[in-house]
Amino acid sequence: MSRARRLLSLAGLVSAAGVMGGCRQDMHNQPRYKPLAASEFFADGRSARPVVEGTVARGHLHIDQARYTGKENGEDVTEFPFPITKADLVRGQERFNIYCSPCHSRIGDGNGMVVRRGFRQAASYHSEKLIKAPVGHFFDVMTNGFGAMPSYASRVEPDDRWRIAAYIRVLQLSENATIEDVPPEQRPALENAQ
Amino acid sequence: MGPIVLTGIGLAFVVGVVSLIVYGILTYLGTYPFTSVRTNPMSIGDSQIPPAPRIEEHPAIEIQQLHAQEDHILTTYGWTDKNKGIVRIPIARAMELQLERGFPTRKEAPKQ
Ligand code: HEC
Repeated sequence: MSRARRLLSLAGLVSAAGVMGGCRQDMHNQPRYKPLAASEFFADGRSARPVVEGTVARGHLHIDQARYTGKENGEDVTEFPFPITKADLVRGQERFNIYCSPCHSRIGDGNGMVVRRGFRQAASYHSEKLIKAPVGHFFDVMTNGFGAMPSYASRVEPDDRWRIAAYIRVLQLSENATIEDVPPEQRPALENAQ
Repeated sequence: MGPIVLTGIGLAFVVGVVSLIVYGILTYLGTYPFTSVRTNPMSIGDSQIPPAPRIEEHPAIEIQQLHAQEDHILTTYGWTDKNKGIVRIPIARAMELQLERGFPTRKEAPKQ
């Protein structure tokens, strides 16, 4: 073989390798179904498999009825499902001021700005009915709405609804306290006030 | 006569006719008494004010005023009903007291 022919065949080999490299198929062809495509493999003709009956999405297993509905056997519960701490109250206050105060006002008298601008009169938390109402009732109203008031289930997490209910209890106490709740040094000024 | 001259005469004639019509209309209208009083029935009487709530002139100021009122109530001592001895206390104090007294809580730990 002449030197020129050897060189020529080498060049041919190199370029053939390059061209064949371009024909690689290893991961380019992926045998899979597109969403909702039909399949002959499964008896029902669907490529997608239905979820097993009774499947629950993570974080959606709500077996604690009282905690997630505010009711037990159809009755409003009277107790919180978890202990309320200072941090819970601060969170409840924040959520209340965001979601409830536009209508109920930050003092809870039902005369928030939306009501002043023509919306239906919202309930005052300082009425005898709501002072006596069990906490489960507040949870239920937030979850399902009440009269003209819409449901807040999609905007306020269940545990935050309990925290708001706890904060409403604090609001109620703040307007329904006795003279014993006032520190002694504040009492003289109060006695003279109207 | 050329077409340009003809067109000129035609135009002058039309202008004359229109001037006559306008003069006639103006003389006719001149027989009406001149008045500066508004006689439109909509403009007589008190100006009509729509029922409340009206457009907010200064929304930012109005919400500030409301917040100031609320803040006053949420931070001061006062009477809800002096005759019945019902007192209003600041919200921070109410939080402390309510935490001391405790919230009714069930014994069972919260489940999923
Ligand atoms: C869009 C305005 C609006 C918002 C926001 C709102 N409410 Fe109400 N709420 C109302 C109105 C109006 C009523 C009275 C319903 C009726 O009589 O039709 C009411 C009534 C209530 C009642 C009384 C139910 C009863 O038994 O009489 C409670 C408790 C309550 N709301 C709690 C809340 C809480 C907690 C929030 C915040 C998550 C909230 N509301 C947010 C408008 C609102």
